[in-house]
Amino acid sequence: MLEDEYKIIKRAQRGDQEYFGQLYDHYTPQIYRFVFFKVGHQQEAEDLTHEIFLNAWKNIDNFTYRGHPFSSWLYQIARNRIIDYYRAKKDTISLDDVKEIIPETGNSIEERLDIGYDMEKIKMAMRQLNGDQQNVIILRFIEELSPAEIAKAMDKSEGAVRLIQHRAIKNLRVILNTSEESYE
Amino acid sequence: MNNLEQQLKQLKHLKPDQEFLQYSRQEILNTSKPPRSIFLLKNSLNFAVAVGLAALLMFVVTDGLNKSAQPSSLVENKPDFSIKLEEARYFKEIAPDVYVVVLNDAPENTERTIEELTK
Repeated sequence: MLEDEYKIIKRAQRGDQEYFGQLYDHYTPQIYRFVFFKVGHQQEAEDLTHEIFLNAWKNIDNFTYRGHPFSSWLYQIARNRIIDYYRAKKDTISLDDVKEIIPETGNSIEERLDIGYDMEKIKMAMRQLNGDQQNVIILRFIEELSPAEIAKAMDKSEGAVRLIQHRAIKNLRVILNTSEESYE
Repeated sequence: MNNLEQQLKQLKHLKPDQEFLQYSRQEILNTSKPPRSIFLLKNSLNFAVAVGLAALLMFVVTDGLNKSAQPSSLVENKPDFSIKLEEARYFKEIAPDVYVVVLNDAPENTERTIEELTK
C-alpha cells in the first residue's frame, strides 16, 4: 500500500493526472503479473493491463475508501476484465504461445535459466488449477497479499480464501510431482 | 521443487516491459477523465427524477383514493329523470295525440312505467 494512499486517491479523483500516475507506477507491476499468469501471453497481458488502468482512471470517482488498499479495487476490475476476455475468446491459449520471460534476478545465466525452467513448470501447473485457485496462488504467494485483502479482491470470505488456498497448494503439489515423475 | 512457496515467490521478479509502461502511462494520463461535476450532476439528476416519479405516483394514488371514496361523481353523472317526467306531463296536457302515439309505439310495460311516473 502506498504511503498517503488515501490523499493520493482523493487528488486523482479531482482529476489530477500526476497523482493517478503515482498509483499507476506503484500498482502496474502486480496487476500485470496477475493478468500475465491468468492469460499466459505477454502482449495480451500488456493490452489487458492497459485497459484495466484506463478503466480505473475513468471510473476512479466510483472508488470509495473503506480501509482496503487501492489494489483490491484494481484486482476486482482485473478479474472482471479477464472473465470478459475469456468469454470473448472462448478457446484456450496454447502453451506453446507462452513467451517465457526469465526474471532479472542478478544471478548467473545458469541460475537464471534454472529459475526460468522452474518458472515454466510452475506456470504450466498453475494453468491446470481452476480460476479461484489460480487467483489465490498469485495473490497470496506471488503478491503476498493478506487473506483479508484477497477476500476483498475476490469478493469472498476470508475462510473461503483459506480453503481455496489449501486446496490450491495441495493440487499444485500433485500436478508438479506428477510432471516431475513423467520427466524421470 | 522442495519449497513450493519459495518457487512461487520467485515469480514476483517478473516485470512488465519498460517501453510498454511508458507508452501505457502516457496514453492513460492523456485520456480525459469524465469531470467530477458531471458525475455529481448525474447523481443529483437521478435523485431529482426519482423524487419526481415518487411524487407523481403518490398524487395518482391519493387522487384515485379520494375519487373512489366520494360518490359525488356518480351523483353528477346520474341522468336527470325529472326532465323526462316533465316532458311526459307536458305532452299529456298540451299534445294528448302525441302522447297516445308514443304510448302505442312503446312496449306495454313502458306504458305502465310512464303512467306510474306521471301520477
